[in-house]
Amino acid sequence: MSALRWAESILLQFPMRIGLGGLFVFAALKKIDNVQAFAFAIKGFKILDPDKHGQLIINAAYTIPWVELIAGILMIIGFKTRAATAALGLMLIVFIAGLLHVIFDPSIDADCSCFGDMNLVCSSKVGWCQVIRDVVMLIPVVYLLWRGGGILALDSIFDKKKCLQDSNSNSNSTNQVDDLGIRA
Amino acid sequence: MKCMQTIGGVLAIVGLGYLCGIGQAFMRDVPVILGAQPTTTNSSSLLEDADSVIKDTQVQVESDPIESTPNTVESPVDTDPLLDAPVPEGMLSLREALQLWNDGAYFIDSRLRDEFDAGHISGAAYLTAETFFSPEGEAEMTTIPPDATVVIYCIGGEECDASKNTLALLQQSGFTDLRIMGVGYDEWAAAGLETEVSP
Repeated sequence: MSALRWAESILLQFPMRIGLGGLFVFAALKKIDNVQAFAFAIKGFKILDPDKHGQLIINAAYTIPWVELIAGILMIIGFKTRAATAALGLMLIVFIAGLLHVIFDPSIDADCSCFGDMNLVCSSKVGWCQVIRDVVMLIPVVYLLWRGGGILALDSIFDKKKCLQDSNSNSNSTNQVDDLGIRA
Repeated sequence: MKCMQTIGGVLAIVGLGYLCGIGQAFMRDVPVILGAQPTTTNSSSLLEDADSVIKDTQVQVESDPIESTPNTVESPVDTDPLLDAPVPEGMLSLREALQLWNDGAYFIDSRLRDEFDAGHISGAAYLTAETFFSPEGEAEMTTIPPDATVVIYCIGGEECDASKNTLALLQQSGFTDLRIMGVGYDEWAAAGLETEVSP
């Protein structure tokens, strides 16, 4: 059972964490480097009216890359893996919704700007390729949400410590009960 | 219990990201804009879409007719109906853009990099929102005097935001005479006007 856990952790969870987390860190750094272009990209999706919700678009342009960066780093080191995975999963769902909005509105001609000025697998123009790419990225998200970060994650070290502390406190309380029992 | 911990963790990550974003906004020298800034001082709106500036530009074009100069491009294109093809309000027609090109105006291509490399208006520089703050973009800008006439183009049409975005950034950088070509590069090339490919 333990060998299986190790195998799963080394072959699935660890590569998934490094791959997905690294991808989001890379994407975040590209966006943080050019917030202006990312703000234009969000405006280009035409989900929010820039006249009415301009400040919201600017706030999103500043916040989204940092959320990607923090969640990506947490995923790589395996600390609070489920929370980081959930955050990235939610963002992927929002991205997919935005992409579908552009695809189904032929009057919108938007660039993805998913990785700044770089193209990963797909061209920069919004299309089904980006949707498929994001859906594929959701697969490890679902898996990591279900199984956690694995043995090689920092979470497992903290969980072990917590378990030891819990078992110690449990054994202490048991001893106290025993003592009380003896005294009784 | 675990579910609640995960939700709490997500909220903490989003909150931390928001704080980092605020910190970055404070440290940034140039504010992020979404469109061209108002040119009049009595305007109350901080954010204004580039359309309004483009309308100002149209007034400028109409009130300041460009002096006719000897055309460096062969005369047969003068009769090309593409030259007077309708363009979105406030943008330059192909004929007006051609005249500015002949007058030595600076042209900026704000399409995708590979589109620019495949072919662009002769002498046009490549500048988009993505490259604007890069060394390449800064190098391009140093070659253009701030008071020079600059014509920006992309794929053309009302929905071509790339030109408007580049215009807004150039305006923020102090460039004063900015115009947008209402048709795209394809129309320019189709009219038989001078183009070149990147080496």
